[in-house]
Amino acid sequence: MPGRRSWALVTGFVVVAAAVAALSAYTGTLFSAQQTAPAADQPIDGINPGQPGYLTLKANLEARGKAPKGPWAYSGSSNFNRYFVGVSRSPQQPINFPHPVHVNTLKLNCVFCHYAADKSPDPGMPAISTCMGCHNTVAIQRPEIQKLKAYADSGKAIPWVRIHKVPDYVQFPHMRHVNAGVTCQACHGQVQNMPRVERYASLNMGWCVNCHLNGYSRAEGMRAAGYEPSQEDMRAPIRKASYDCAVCHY
Amino acid sequence: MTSIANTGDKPAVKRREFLKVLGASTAAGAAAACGDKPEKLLPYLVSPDHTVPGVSTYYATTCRECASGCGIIVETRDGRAIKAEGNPDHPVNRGALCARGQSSLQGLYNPDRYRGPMLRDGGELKPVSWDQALQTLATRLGEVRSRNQAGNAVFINQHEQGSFPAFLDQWLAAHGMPAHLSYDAEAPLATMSANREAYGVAWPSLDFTEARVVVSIGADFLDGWGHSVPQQLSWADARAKLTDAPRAVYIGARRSLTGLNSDQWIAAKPGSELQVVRALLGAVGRGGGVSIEAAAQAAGVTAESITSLANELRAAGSHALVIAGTTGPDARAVALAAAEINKALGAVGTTVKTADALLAYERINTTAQVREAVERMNAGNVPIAFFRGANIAHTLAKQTNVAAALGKVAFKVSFTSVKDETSELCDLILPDHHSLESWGDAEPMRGVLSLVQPTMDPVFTTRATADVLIAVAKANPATASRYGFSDYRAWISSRISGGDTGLTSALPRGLTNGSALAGAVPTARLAASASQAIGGTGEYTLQVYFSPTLGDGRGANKPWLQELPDPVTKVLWQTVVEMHGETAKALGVAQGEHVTVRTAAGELTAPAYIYIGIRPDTIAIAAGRGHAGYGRYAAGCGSDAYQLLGITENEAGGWALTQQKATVTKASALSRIVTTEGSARQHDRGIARAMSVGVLLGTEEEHDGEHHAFTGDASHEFLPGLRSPVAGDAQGDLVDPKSKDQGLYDPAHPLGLAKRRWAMTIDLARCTGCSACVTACYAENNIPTVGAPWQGPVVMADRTGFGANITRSREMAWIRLERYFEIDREPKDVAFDASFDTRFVPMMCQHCGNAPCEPVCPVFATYHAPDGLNVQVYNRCVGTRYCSNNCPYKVRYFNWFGYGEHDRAQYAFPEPLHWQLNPDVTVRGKGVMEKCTFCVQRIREAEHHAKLEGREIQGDEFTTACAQACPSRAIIFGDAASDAWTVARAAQDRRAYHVFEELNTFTAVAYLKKVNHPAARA
Repeated sequence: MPGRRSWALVTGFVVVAAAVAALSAYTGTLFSAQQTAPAADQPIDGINPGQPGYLTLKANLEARGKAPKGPWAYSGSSNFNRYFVGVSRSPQQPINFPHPVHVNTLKLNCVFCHYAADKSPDPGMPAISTCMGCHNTVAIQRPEIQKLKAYADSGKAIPWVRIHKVPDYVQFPHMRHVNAGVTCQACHGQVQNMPRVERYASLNMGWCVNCHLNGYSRAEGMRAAGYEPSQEDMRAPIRKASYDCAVCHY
Repeated sequence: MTSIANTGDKPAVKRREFLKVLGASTAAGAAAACGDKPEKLLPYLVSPDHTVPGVSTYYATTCRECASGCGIIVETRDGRAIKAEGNPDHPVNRGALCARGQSSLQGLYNPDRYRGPMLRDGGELKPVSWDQALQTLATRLGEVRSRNQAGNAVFINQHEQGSFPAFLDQWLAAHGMPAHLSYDAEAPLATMSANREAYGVAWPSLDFTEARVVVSIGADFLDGWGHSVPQQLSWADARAKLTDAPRAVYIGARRSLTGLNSDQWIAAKPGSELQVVRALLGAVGRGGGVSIEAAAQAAGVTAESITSLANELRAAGSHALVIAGTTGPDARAVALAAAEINKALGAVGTTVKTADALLAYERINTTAQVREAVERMNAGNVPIAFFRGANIAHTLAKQTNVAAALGKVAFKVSFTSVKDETSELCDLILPDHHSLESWGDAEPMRGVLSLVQPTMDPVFTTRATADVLIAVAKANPATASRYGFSDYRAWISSRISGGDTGLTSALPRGLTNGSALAGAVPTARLAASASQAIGGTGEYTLQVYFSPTLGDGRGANKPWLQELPDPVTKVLWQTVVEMHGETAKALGVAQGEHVTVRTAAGELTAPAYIYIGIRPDTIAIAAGRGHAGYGRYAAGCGSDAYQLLGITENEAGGWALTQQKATVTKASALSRIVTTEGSARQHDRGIARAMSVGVLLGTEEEHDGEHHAFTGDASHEFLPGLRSPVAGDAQGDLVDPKSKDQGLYDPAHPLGLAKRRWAMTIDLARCTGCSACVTACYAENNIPTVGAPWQGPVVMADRTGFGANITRSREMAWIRLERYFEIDREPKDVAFDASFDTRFVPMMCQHCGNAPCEPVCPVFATYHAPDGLNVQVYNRCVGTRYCSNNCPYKVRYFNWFGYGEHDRAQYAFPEPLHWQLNPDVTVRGKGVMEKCTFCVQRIREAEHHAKLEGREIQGDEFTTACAQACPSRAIIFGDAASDAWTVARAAQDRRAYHVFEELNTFTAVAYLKKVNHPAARA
């Protein structure tokens, strides 16, 4: 039996641990002090316009801080603890893949690479061959592309660190959501504005059911995606979905 | 090559850990759980063409689990085969698939497969590289040839259809070696030989739908004898004709599954079948030389039973069907006499269709020829021996002494892909691909070429034997010129019309026109059987039979088949000695007490099992278990019945399985019978009901007395219950039209869930109890097997080893195939009576509209979905098991040990068995209740398809795994609330009833009563 003093110690430990845990979960999303985007054609980090890497740096800089923080109101986030132990909400990936330059500058659609998102439960991580389709010729001397090429040449898969996962007892069909018009950003956040992908939503059941029960608004979805909704979007009806357990749990 | 798009392990749901973390999250947060590594997302290197990650791709191929050659479609997801289904376009099996065919996946992913080539070094098999292995083979072949001994080589191949036998013979000839021996222990050689003589073909197709009387003399055509799926399809179609259905009579000492499905059992003494069938032959006008009285005397049955059967046969004329498949030394003579009856009655062409002959057994060699080859080995005359799949060390008579014979062969090569008794005696293992990884073909019917194609990349570093042979031939200058093609696929495509293009265009259906037969069929000479009588001394006749689930033993390394209860005895993971109650009484043994069976050949001690369907002077033991080495699921499980048999063969060169008299004595031990059965009697509960055909014909009154010991007040108009998601009287507030709180249960709710009522009908006139549905359910729903010895706790001495969990009723089978005997007498009365009726009922969750399980769940883990499903939410379940206690059907199963959790000792899917797991279904963890979901994943998938295509689900668009596999087509699934589905019509059949309808459960499963065909009163 621990004495009085030990009890106090235990309690103190729990409080401190809780604070640390909460803080670490939160800081995952924080970025270094926000920088303002430089005026056009200014050198960034000593790289001049037209030099390799400039577009990426520029796109990252412009994106920084634009992606809104996720709706953590439903936290409690059992998934986070179970499935993301040791993973911050924005882990270091084996290759610093910059979404901003691919989406914002080069205007690639999400399903260009995640090509199965509208036809499969599994959105599909792009095959390395998809990357190499362009990067056989584009920016081949850049260090991150060299890493990519090393993976492609060695025949090893890139070990991307998983940051979005629902538990195995949840069946999440991507294609139903994409085809219903739910913007990718409604769940994943504005990935186009994340220099390093972070987890936007808690992915816990309360967060899912919120939308299934109250409905998805296209206007809100567009806003979440970072776009101003059109008149048509504003007029679109709120779409509800079944909240029957066996729709997802089986 | 491509890698797999997802991470290798599918981590199981760990509910305990989940709860632990949930509780801790408010206090210590993530600090509580640690040790798990962050999960990785591994993409493909190169995305495979035509596949979408997470969406299944289907490959048509041919099943190789037995010789029949059924067409299968293998579902693959992200590069892994996850399910085998019948190919609906295939003429042999028309979309159905038996339990053994389903289990081909567990052969593919068997954890005891050879992972690569092995070479014996210092007495031990050690892994080597393929280059080294092929070099060794080439060197050894060169040595044999240089010593001019190649002509004495022996190659024994597991019999298979298609071009491979011809290819193999060519290769052997090119190397100066004699043609190979094609061996199949299960092949009914006697019947085939008799058929060839009588009909000109080895296996005419049997058309039960044309028959009015079916007489089976030991021919267990529903137990795996012959070609089980096509026979069962035809049988079920015939019985579904109800008033025009054939009456079936079974003649034999033990009532097999076929016997239990027959309307009448004539329990003839073993060895007397020839006299009975000759008496019948005489009665239909061909001199049989045996009078009915003499036959009845010999068989120990009444003369009236044979006389009335003869009358029935005469009356049926060309619509009679007599099949014989006895296993005694005189089996060929019996089969020949049976064929003569068909010919005398003019049945050839109506019920016996020689034009549609099945070719599965063409170019097969006899067991006698294989035994002679082993004898040559024993004499030291064989320099090199090859084995591929054929496990002669297990399936030949022990007196053949295969182990000693192989010891005298200088070099033994095994191409077998999985460890078995024979390959473990070999010096070089060159593991073949599994058939689901190989190219090949089969010709199950004349002109129909059924293709075999790889469904996935090889699991291990195996190589197709044909390709190994090609490589060896190419490396040798003497033979290289004859092997100009690149590989076996090229060789096959060169034999198909249209060549490679022809092959490619035929693959999607898996079928093309053509022939794969290897020229002339070698006809084995008939051996004069030394003795036509049953040998040995003893009070009882021993009848060994091939297990309907494990066959000759080849299924024993597949846990699905080991855990599939025998359709007759309901015993699993265990070998028992079947005896009648009278016999047991005479011996003074009770069920489970061990008896020692002694014959002239050997002895065996196993628990006694009391079975009312066996003659008191006969005992029966299923072959298939008792392997000395065949992987972790077979070794040490049960006993080997073959050791009780001598070498006695029938005239056709087949091994006689009923050949010995035996003495039986009580032994001291006692075992629990490993069975899933509670009681074999219905106790007036009306679970499995039947009606006489006279009721349907209007000549008899239906007497309702056999069920309903307790009359309930439930409406027998059950359709209203089927039409609405929740039974009217169970809805409470929801049924109130003024209620504003109906939510998703409101039929007018915009999401429309409540407009459906998923339901099922099961036609007991079709169901034969074969249990293919059970295995299909295991495959589809990630059901763990629990019978391996390491899966049970070691607490009580009599509950250890194989099946220990089952003796504690911890099986997980979501469908249970119940088998009930109907016999009107006191349970204590054990006197022999052949006139009992048997009922089979597939019992799964009934998805009650008014479910007793739902209100007792304290956490709402089980509830009623608006579309009529009784849902079990695994992540809500806390494992109180109240629901199971309250379930009248006992169809809820509790996961006691976390069989789905890979870090537990009880894990049911050791690497790589877990590759088979269906990604659409949760792998359940410990402490969770689970049960039939009506394949909700298939419902959702159909909904996804319909939604994406902007349409409604169409009638009969999809079905459940059990209904899809059923070789009797007994199960119909669908939406009972919509007339577009067959099930809505089937549920209105006058034979339909609900089990325990007096309990007001309003189940979604309607059974259609079995129809019995009693003998016409003279």
